[in-house]
Amino acid sequence: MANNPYKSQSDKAFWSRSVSTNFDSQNLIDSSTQLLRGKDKVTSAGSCFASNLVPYIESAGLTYLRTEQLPHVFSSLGQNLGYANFSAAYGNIYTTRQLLQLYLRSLGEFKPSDDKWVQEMSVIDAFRPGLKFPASSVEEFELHTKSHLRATREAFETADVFVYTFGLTEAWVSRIDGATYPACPGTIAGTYDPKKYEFRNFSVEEIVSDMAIFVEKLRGRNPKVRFILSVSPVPLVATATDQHVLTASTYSKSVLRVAADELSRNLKDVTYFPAYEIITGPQAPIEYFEDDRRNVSKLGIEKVMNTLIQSSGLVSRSVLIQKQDEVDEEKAEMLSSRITQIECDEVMLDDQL
Amino acid sequence: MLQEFTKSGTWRIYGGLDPEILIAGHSHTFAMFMALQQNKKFQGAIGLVSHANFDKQIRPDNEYWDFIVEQSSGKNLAISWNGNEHNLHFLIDTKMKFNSLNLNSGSKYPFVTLSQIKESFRPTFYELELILSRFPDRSKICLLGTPPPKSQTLLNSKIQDDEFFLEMGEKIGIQKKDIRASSNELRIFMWKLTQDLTEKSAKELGCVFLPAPAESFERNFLLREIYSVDDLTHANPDYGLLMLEKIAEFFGVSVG
Repeated sequence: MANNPYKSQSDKAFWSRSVSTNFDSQNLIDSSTQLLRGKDKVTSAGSCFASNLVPYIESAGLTYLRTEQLPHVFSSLGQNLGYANFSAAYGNIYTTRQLLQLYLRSLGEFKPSDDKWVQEMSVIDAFRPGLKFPASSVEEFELHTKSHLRATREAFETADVFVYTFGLTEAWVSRIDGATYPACPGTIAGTYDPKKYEFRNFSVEEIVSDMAIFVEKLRGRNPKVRFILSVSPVPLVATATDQHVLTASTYSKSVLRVAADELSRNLKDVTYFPAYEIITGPQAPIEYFEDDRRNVSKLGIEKVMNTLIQSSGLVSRSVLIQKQDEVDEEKAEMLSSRITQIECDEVMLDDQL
Repeated sequence: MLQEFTKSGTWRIYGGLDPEILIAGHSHTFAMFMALQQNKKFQGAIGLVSHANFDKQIRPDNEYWDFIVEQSSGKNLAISWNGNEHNLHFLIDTKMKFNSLNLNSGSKYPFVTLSQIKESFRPTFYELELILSRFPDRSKICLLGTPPPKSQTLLNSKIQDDEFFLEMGEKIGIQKKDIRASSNELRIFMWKLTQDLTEKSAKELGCVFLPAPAESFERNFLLREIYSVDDLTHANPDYGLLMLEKIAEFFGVSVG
């Protein structure tokens, strides 16, 4: 048989030897690249899939950066839509344009003209429209936003590793200055006005350009940062195009996948992590998705996250390490509470002390 | 004539059984109770409902509030509701600080909106609303402002002198030297919010809010030391006297 380029390929290059049989998600990752290192401080952003990362990062002994963490008495009240699940309370960042604009806002380089929606009792953050406890006045909104952007900048600029999960290509933007919103105005909050907002379906070129600018800008202030890119396997919940949501979703994920590949091939220390393939590839068990065939199941999430952790030579521990500041805060809060209760009720039971 | 004791005998009315004003509520009534005992001029005009054994205070229960609803019919009623919410989670200092509108703990700390802080107080005000809704005529009810916070310096000296609290802190895992009171700014901020919320509840439920007497606090809103009792959270009988006079004046009841 004549020689050909495939002769020298390893097993992973052949479907029959690496997918039909002997599939191992670890083999999807270039063994020469250690994605995470033991002392890394990790920041994540992106679609909701990115928020799943946090407990796995922490159980592997790495530091998940949290720069906007509230005292327990407030955080225990809960938050909507995963705002509390990321390094700062930016919530889901579905498009790369939104990510870039968020960072530019934190640097004071972009000031969207339509950044708040004033309602009777509250002022809604157009970029965090689902916040459970919005500001009550414009003054409070400005202070809240300033604090949030400071925390965002700190999370981005102190990270050793920035994990970003591409979510969508479809977005709604301001006709005035291109400000890109996480949700169509009028869905979670605000009012849809076609004179003010327009639909965009970002192209590969636009996504690559936005992400490259983001990487370059962040590296200018945080030269050590490494990037891990992934594509969310969660399909679109709805499309604003005239296509079927399934074909629109396939198009969107394909664009994102190509963009991630271009970026990882052309930029230093930018690595693609194949979460998308692990969950959506033909080898994946049907159980990786929930019954709605959209949301990824716990089993699927565990597979992806364990692949990430194990491919880095790290081990997940079952016991989460709580940060010292959190431990101290809980103790102080407990002492405050006990002193106050004792002085107020004059009731003291030894087993409560 | 009012009934002196509740059915179980746990609670009783102090200060006479035919008062024009009845006072009820939580631990901040203690200062008014002491003032009532020490100043005969209020006897007969003001009654205060508290534990039958005043040395053994417990939190007012259903029987207590049933009794107040029953006995206050046709009377003026002043309620001192909780009043230590600002201390409950924040009396002891911690590194986990926060900022809010009119609270600046430092630029590196996160911002908490007023709506979120108010939500943290919801359980206590929800309970207040439930109780007030049981009174058929709330036009004769006033909700009392509660004493302002004590200074950090005063609290720190009391904490460091109090072996009981220091040992309690050690049991929780805080070293004695690290047990310090939180900032004045934080506790004043939280206290003002609770006063605002009490006033809001009063308005919404058709009552009147009677704030803490202006002469009881310094210009920075800390409780004046002359009105502080020897603990971390309460005011003394002189403060109680100010409140009694203010309550009597508010309801137009002449005393002494």
